[in-house]
Amino acid sequence: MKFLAILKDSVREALDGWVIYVMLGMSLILVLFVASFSVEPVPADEAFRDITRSFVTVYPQRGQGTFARPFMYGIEVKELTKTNDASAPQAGDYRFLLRFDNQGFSPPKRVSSPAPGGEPPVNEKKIESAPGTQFRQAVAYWSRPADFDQVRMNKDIDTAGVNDELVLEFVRDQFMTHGNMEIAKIVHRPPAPDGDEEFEVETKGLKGARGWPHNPSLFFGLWSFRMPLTLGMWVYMIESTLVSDIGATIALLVSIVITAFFIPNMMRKGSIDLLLSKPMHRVTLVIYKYIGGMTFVFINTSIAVGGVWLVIGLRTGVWGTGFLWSILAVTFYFAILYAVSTLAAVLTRNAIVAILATTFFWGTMFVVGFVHNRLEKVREDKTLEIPRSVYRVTDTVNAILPRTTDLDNLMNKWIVDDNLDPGERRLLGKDKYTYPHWGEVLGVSGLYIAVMLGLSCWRFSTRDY
Amino acid sequence: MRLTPGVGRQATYNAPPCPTPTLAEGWLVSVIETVDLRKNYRRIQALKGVSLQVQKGEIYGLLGQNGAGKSTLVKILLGIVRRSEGEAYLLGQPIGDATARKRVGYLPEDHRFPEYHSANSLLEFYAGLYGVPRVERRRRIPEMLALVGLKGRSDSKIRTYSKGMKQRLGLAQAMFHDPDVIILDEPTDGVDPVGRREIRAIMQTLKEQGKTIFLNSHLLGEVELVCDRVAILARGEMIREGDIKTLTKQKGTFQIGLAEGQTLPQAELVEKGYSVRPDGLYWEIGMPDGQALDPVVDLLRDRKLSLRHLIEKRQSLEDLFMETVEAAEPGVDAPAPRRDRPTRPRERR
Repeated sequence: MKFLAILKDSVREALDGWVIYVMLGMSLILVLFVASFSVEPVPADEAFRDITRSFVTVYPQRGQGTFARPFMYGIEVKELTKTNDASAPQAGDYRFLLRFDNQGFSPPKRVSSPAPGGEPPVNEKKIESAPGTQFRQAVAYWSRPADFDQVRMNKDIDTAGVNDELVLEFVRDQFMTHGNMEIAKIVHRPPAPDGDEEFEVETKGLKGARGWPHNPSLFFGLWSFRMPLTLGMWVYMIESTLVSDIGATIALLVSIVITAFFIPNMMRKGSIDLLLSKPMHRVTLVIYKYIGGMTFVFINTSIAVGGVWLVIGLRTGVWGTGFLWSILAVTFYFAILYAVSTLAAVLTRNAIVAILATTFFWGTMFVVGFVHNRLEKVREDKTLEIPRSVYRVTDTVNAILPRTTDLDNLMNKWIVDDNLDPGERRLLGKDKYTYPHWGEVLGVSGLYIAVMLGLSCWRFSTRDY
Repeated sequence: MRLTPGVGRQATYNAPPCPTPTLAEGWLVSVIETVDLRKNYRRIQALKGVSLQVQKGEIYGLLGQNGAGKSTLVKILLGIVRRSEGEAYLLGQPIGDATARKRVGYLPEDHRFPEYHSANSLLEFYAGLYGVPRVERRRRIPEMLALVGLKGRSDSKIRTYSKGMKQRLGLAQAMFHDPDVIILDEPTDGVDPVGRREIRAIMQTLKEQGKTIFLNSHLLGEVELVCDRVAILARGEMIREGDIKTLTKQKGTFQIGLAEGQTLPQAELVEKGYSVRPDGLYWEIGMPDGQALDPVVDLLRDRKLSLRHLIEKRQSLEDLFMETVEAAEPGVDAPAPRRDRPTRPRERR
């Protein structure tokens, strides 16, 4: 009953200012904006053209390597035929002829050639074409680990060892990586006299619409534009970028401002006397007030995330539940920040100081997490000469501070798992990312919250009012 | 409730006995008790060993100038401020005990209610903190607001209230959960004369219901009207305590009135050592030490004068307060020196 009384009081306090209405309004606008979003599956000919156009981007190590390299060849889909009677383009089985135009060219190289009858002019450029090798070089690049030198565009790749079997594997993998498509049948035609590579390909229809390219339209169809991304990628962008990144950042910032006033207002002379004279332990009062602030964020996040999830499901048919975990993750994220705000408020009784301290702490967490993540990616890279002491310092700082960046990444993982196919994950670099363990993130961050709240309770309990 | 045998004190601590009413079975009922209570704010001694007892059902007034330590004493009783030394009990429990606070209502001086509340929601909020059941809350809120004259504004935000209305609301929240002890710090501050009378009437009603009221007030006239006993604090020390009638009695001073047209034999009385001075329509006669009033009455009878008015004269509480405080601490408002060390004279240029 006491908890509910304090909770209702916190809600009343929040409702008293206009900021909460702005925040709720923003959440509703966000939901409405997402509701106005719709997608249309791209016709099969366009889809295959867009998918195969991406085949110029090749990842080494059978697609598992990090450094993609573009290769210069033209790709053409011809004689496209649907072989089943599915009405939706993504459900169709297709047969077509895939042609790699091997008349492409190597990137320009600077060569020095003496001018007739004299010294070569300074900076004279001359293009040396290398037709007929780009496709085979791409297969070779794809099939082996790439060293840093090979990533450079003008470095030729040794095509020795490229056989027919490897070529077929390469094409299959490119379809999976760039189109989330399984190849039912593929036949490599004998090489044409001009060196072009041709394949007879049969694909199987997708089980759902998620992996098929879609064009979006906004404002209930008023504004359509051509930007073919898979439906899963669109949902991922809305849930991850629009809601979990931009939306959550704004919501957290506004929440910090609103809730920063709760405790200083409670501790004002004349107000605190009334509360402390009630039959409640002081620690209970701080904890309840803290939970009251969190509940406020929980409600607002639930409205925004729940609303977006609902309209995405209704508009696209994608009902991934991972996104809903964002409600708890954002609330927990706020719990970390609000613990700092609470301590600052108890120590200073000043809302402005609480806001500044919390945002400074937030910024510090972001920088620490960012630096640690970046260093983590290159930890094993021997080509970069980073002193070990730098790793030690960032590891230590990261170990003892709450894991806000890790929490972000875990939140992102749910959305990725729900919406992106393996190929898309590979393209976004999400397949090789080592996610931190949940227990560690919650444990360290929870411990930090406990320490902050413990200090707040101790100070609140031991001071005179 | 703290029951103490005999002269009103338990054997566990040594404190001066206090003249307090005794129940039939010989037990005293102290609802508030402090023993040698001290509070230091760094170098400042706010309370210097205050011992007092407040009995069940009485209205006890605590008087003192600004900074005398009244609010500090109240805050210690309620656990808002921690004591430095000494002991204090509230309803028989050591102070700081939350169960005792459940039976206490409190209206602080300069209270600041959250202005986003209405009277309704504020009472709902505080009653929730006391654990008053929802049904009971719904029933009592209109009753309490009607009692303090706020029923017509129960849904208005507190920020629209006058100071007097906020004070009435404060009184309502202090009484809401039907406490045994009500501690009021300047309850009539900012309230108009009609409202003050209503608040006094409420206090009398509460007293009749057996509630104990601990009242801090600067308005000595009101304290005199409602309190059974008072204590005067000065610079953290209790310098006077007792029931109002005893404290305000002016020993050896009477007011006499004669029948119309008759004249008091003033010269003869002065000759016999009495002091005589006109006091409006009456005469004020002061007794010499050890003398009684009887010789005066005998003299008037001898002179065939008709006595129409005779009362023993009392001091007002304000007079008593001024007299007591000035005797204890003349110039109390002078600021205390900030440092012990002597200040260096400024160099002349």
